[in-house]
Amino acid sequence: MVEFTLDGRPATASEGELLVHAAARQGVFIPTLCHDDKLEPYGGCRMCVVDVEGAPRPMPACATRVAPGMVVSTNGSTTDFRRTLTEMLLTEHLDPNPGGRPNELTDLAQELGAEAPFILPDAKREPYEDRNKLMGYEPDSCILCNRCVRYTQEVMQCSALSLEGRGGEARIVPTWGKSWLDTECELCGGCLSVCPTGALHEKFLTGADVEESALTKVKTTCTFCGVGCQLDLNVDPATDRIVKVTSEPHYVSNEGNLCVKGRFSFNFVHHPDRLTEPLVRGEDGELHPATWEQALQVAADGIKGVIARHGTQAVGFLASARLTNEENYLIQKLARNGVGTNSVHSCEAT
Amino acid sequence: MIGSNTTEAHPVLALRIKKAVRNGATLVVADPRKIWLTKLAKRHLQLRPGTDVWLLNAMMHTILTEGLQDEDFIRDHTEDFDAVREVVMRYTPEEAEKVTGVPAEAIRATAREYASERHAGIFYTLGITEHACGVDNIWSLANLVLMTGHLGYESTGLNALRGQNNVQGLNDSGANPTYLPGYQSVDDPEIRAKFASVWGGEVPATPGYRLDQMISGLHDGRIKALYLIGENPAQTEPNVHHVEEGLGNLEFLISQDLFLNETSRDHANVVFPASSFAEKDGTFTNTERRVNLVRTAVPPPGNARVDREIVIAMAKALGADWPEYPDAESVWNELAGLAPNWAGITYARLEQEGIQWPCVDSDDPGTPFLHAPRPARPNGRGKFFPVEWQPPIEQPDSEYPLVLSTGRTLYHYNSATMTMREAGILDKQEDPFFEISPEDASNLGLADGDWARLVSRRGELEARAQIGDRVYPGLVWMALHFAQARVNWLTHDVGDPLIGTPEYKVSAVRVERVPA
Amino acid sequence: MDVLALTPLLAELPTERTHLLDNLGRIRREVGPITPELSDALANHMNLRLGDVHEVVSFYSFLQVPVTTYRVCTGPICDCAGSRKLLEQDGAMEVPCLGHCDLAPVATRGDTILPGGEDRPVTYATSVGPALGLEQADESLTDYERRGGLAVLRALPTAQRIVEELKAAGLAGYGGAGFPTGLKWESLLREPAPRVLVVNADEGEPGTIKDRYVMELRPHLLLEGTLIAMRALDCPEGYIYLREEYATARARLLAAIEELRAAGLLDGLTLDLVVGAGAYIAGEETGMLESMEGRRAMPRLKPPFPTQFGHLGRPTLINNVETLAHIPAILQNGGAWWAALGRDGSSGTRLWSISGAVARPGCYEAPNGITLRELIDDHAGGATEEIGAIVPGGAASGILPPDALDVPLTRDALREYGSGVGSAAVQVFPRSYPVLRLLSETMRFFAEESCQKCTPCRIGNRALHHLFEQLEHGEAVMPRWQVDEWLLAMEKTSICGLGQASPIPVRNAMRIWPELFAPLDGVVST
Repeated sequence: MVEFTLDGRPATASEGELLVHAAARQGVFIPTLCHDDKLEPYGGCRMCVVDVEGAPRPMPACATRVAPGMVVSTNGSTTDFRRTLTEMLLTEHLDPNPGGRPNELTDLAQELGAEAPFILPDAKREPYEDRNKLMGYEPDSCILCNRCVRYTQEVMQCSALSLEGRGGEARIVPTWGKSWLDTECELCGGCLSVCPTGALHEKFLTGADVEESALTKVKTTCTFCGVGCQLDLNVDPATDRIVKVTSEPHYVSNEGNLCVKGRFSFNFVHHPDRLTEPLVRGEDGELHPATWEQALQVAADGIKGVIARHGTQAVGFLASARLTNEENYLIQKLARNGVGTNSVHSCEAT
Repeated sequence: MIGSNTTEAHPVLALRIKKAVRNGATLVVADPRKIWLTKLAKRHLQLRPGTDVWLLNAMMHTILTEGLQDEDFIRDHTEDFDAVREVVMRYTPEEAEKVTGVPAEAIRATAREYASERHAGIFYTLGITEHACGVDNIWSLANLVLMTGHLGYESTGLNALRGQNNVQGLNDSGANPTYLPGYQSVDDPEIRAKFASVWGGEVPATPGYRLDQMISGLHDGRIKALYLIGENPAQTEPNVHHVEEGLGNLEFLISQDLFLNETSRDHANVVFPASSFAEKDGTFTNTERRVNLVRTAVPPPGNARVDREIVIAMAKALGADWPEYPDAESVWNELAGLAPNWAGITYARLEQEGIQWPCVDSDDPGTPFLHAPRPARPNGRGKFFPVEWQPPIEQPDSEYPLVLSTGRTLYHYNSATMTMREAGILDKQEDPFFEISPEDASNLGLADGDWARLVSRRGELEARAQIGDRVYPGLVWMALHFAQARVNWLTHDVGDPLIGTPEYKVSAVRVERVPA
Repeated sequence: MDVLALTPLLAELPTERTHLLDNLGRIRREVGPITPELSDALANHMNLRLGDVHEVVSFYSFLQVPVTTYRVCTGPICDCAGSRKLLEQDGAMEVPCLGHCDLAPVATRGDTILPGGEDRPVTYATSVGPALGLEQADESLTDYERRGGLAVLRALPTAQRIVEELKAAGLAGYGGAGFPTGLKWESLLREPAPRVLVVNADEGEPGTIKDRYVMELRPHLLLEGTLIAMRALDCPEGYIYLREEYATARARLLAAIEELRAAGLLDGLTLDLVVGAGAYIAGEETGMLESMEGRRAMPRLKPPFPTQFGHLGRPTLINNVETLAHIPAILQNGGAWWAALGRDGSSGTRLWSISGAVARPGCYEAPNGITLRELIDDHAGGATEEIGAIVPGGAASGILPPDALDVPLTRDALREYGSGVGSAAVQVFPRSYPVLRLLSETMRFFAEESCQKCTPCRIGNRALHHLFEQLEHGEAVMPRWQVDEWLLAMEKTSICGLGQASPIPVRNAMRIWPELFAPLDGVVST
């Protein structure tokens, strides 16, 4: 435990804790833009600077670890800097809403009453079009917080995005300006999940015009590999369709991270190839639509017939790792209790 | 990491590995292929497929020769150690080098690092299990873990990375011919009686068939009806042509799935339209035994139904007397009531976050470390099983000179009925491909992206050559996702003698140019 | 094609990330400008992420252009001397101060300096200096020894004694920040050995040419100072980080290092030259460390300071070229002797780079505390035009009006003018060169050289450049109160000295020439 003073009141932090976290636990909210808990401290946007007694100039709360006896003030002159820095960022923030994702900068600007006094003459950046169908990028929304690039460097450790150039020409691009499809990018979308302004965003197939706040989030477990990532299916209530998948940093197992399948491969749910009617094979050897009543009857008769001719041991059940525990439980119960065989297995039982 | 292409098969779990390496952990990758993680690895043990037992026994040889074993742990928490000592002393690193292709010094160095680091864990996936000697491989790994006492605390253990979302739960919930839910043996009359009293009907005592036995039963007439739920054996089983022949012998086949697939299109008598994970409530159990909630987000399309309701309707149609089961939770409660290790888990407790079983009552927070404070066997002792190496069933020869190994890629999922329907993913990977070394490709006159024919004793297919150093000369690799080029047309179906897991990882093939 | 040409070279290139910049420089010289293909090939060779190399390549100005590119200095002195005319040449590349302000306007092609844009010899203008003796060049180690060189190194005092002498001398860093050298050495000695020495030879402050003079005229003197530091402070590894544009200095240093090596003076030490690739901010000491470690030269957050956590995390001393060059004389003659060379309460001498509207622009060793008038009249041959403004210490020092000509050039005296001595780069501008133009060019320089990481520097400097360009047309883009707020935010919240100091000339000009800023009062607040 480390004791320090926060805005005139005694406070505590754990050993090595970042000031921004320690303050949040005491109910003192310090705004940040470039900070992300998944990433190493960066201290670039300077939005979170606070006064620390004895320091020659304000310190970034996102990159300063609490030291014993530290005297910190978050509500003095540094609050003016927040507005000024927001004004600065707005002078090159040409497109505040490119893809429906929330925008932390415009939210902050609204809260602080900040407006751009002018638009920088070199604010306009070269547009970026990518032929991939999953992720979009609007350079004119980027505030160069570098969260996306740092995500690729620190978390994915891949080469998908680079911080290119310096000064006013600095910008974020897929490595060497190539299409993501031609870089090492695995289309995991982690970069867009950490983007504070929505400059990086999903390319929705449908519902592109719907703000994230208007979507219903349903927390569930991913259907792909065995990691069990916790995610939110974002459903458009108007269409009952999933329009995107998000995750939260506090979700266990995946800490808000997802892979390309978990984040983007959800359209199979709404695919026109989905079976929507029971099918029964007719005399003609083809499968034909049937009612549930008919199909269940045919199925039950078929099983009963085999049992009658060959006994219960001639019936086998293959369950699936795709199904829930409850469904697999019922299937083995159906085999053992409904038919009377222990022959229930699956290809994934390895 | 052994036999686990983690960044592709478990991409999000791989982030933990990457983070650990970034924080200073030492990573050693044992894999026939130069997978992504080898970039971060201190060492890549590029062993030949099917030689894991040699590698592991030689590591144990080093540990015992150099006295690096944990004598206290062996004495207090294990049994039958001497049997293993006797066997592994015959597996010298120098001999291992000849069989595995891994330099003896690399084997020794890895053994030393593993044995002397207190926080040393082993992670494996299907590269270990999908062999005719899959069980041997796991026993070898277990011997290594027990010998060093790396068990029962953080960053240790022998960690199976489950391939699919609910492999763990599938086994936990009793979809298994020898175990009732909760790994309770079907041979045990008391257990059967317990289930019978809750279910209201006898539980059969006759042993059931495993998957491989069911498949062979298709041919010898033991199996006449199959009920497939979310399964597509005509793509995913080894030696698929043989499987398809067998399916033709069936008198009755029910398929319950999201899509028509290779199996149901040709063979099913009845097809039930089922539901995706987004359309149902329930639980999945992940690779760390964590039971997580699944929640309904959207309704099933058209007249498709939730799988739970379909199975219940079938039970009724077959005349079974089942309770109403108004929701998934009521099913869970019955399961948890019958399986002591799940007894403490309720939906209410899962609302915030998942719980790792065993969780025996409502006060039990769950179990992060299964083998703490001691190995989770009835006598509290981990058992050593001495393992002798068995070569893979099929060896390359002059007619089929290349070793074929199979697996998954990042972009697709198993038979890819879901991922092949995502246009954005197809941009990354659409055509079937196989990996081949520059040397073999140049001998065959193949250029990157050329179509080529892969031929085994059981079948053939066409795919594009992807030339690179991920495989060494003599090895080709292909994923199982492609319906038009099913790699399981090529694989053989002689599996592990004990549990029947197929040897997807080693078959003999040849590659032929396809004239343009 | 390029990648094929690279293949044989690649095998020779070391794979440690600390060699990234050096490897890129070699590929650029021996194969050609760095293309994405070359970058990726090198990344794979070094087992780096492709993006890591892309980021580094794009950060520096020169890696993607041919070695033979015609580079034209557009620093304020060259701009004033009409360098923009030189830009009309085909393929000309605009670059910030090339460090040859005494020859303005200046251009370079490859390693050749082109004074006035023409192929004529580089000349030096110096005066007799008691500590550095630049009036006479050393052609060889023998020359240097003949003048008494190496005496201190061969009879090295203890570290403690050296620190005492440095304190007695009152030597303060001549890179621009003026941190007392004795204290810096002392704080390094408190950190565990082995330690690292880095010589900051990335002279880039507009108007500053002094380190180049030292390295080109007396390379052995710098190296003796360097070796004294390495031996005394237990630094088995030393690096000289040299800006790419200083080709002559590079050649002289390499030759001198070889002479020292042959004489056995480097035994047990490694001393390497690290050559930059065109980035002013690499002269900031933590930006330099990042650059040396193979990353973008983006300054680190401080604390920790380099003396605690420097090159690859080790305790590191970073000293400027001129600072180290003074040390042999200080130790030879005593700190008190050196201190007494100063005037008006200041200690010692320093090198004054004088450029612009003077008869003999050059680099003169003269006492601290000297006045501008003495420098201009007694050393630089007098003004050639009516003086309009003087920048006394590099881009970030306040601009002085002609009535400051008799003020002693000391930190205290200049504070009154909102200015400072900085790197002692005295740039004399004629009345015909508008102050707003000077400000606008200065802000353009800072905007282009900002590493971009922090908001106040990346955007603030561009905004100020915009502001001055508009003021030149008598228009204002924001009200005065807001300018004040933005300047304060830049000064207080920027990560490094670049953004912290660039408001200085602005504030100072607003006070000295208020009439230029009158339009700011006409803007209605937003």
